[in-house]
Amino acid sequence: MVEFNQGYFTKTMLATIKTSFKANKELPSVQLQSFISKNAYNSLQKEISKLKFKNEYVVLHHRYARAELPVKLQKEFVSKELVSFISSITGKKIKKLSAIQLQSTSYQIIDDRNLEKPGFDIIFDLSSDWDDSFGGSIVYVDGSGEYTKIPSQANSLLIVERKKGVQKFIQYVNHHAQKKKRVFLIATI
Amino acid sequence: MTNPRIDEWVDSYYFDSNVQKKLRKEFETQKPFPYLQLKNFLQPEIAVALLNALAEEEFTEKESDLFKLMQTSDFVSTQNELIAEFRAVLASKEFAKLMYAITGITTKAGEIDCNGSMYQDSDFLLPHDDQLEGRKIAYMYYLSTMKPKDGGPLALFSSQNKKPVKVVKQLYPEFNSFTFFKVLPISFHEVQEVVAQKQRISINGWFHG
Repeated sequence: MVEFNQGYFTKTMLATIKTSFKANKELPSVQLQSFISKNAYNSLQKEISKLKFKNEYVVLHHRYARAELPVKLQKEFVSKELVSFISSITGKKIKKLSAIQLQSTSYQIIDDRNLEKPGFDIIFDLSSDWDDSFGGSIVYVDGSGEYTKIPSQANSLLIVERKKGVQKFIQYVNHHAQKKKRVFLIATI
Repeated sequence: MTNPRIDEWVDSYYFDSNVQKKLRKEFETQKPFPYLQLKNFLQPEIAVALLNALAEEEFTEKESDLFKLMQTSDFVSTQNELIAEFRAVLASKEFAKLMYAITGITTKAGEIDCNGSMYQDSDFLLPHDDQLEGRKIAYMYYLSTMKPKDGGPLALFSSQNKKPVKVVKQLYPEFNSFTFFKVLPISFHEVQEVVAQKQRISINGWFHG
């Protein structure tokens, strides 16, 4: 079982998170630190390191590697507890998580011919030993060109609502990353 | 400003009609789409003077999902006489004639974009096609030389069903070279990341038609 930080699951805290999430009218979002226990995080990292990532290169959209989580890990992470927690904030049920791995030359750009529809992004960050100066940050941009860069934060859960006109991209990862890799799990709703 | 004489700027080699014929054939048969790299393009002393003049221009950092680089405003408003004159050369009827002789593409004299760009360590421009109404030819006049160890090549993509597939050509900037390509729905290209403590400097833009 993935041991979630129970501090976030109390009624009072959940109410606080909901308020915080809705506070930013343009980009409702919340980033919850230390979302799972330290032991669970370390175990999860071990499991992730065993995944076989497959490179994806869609020139006008993205370049990174992706892996699907093994069924056991999927069930453990996407538990009733987590589904219910996220649903209470977003009103949506997550179905599964995929792992995205960034390394030098990775990117995701906004494809004007294939824009993302409004929706929610649920991202669990596993970026230990990552410096944001390497790039790889997730950035949201609204119709007026306002940018919101989400800093990488190991063991954090990010919930973002993309309203109409909001798009996201992943900053190009530069050569200073060398052999380092950034991994996060992204939910399908 | 009086119209500058382009033969006082561009190397005389490029006015030879046989050279122009050869270049045109080369341009039209290039893969993955028509492009050329003309070396030693301007009179050498002008190239050096342009580089010095460019150092006085104001560059602003530009960053988006697609790029990270330093850029000047369009030189239509530059106070620097030499840079203004270079822009006037590029925008002249004579230059449009020269470009026609080499590419077979008709452009409208006076209708150009022209600014300075500088890519430094970790700067880049991700894949795109440059397509915007009126753009006929994209050009870059390079004022620095980059080697493979420095990064920063202009990379051209092959395409299939009007979608880019993979990089099939890398053109490394060379001081005083003039590189250009035909703007097409398939002219997918990128500037690959600069991976050295070096500045990749150009005056670049588009010829419209």
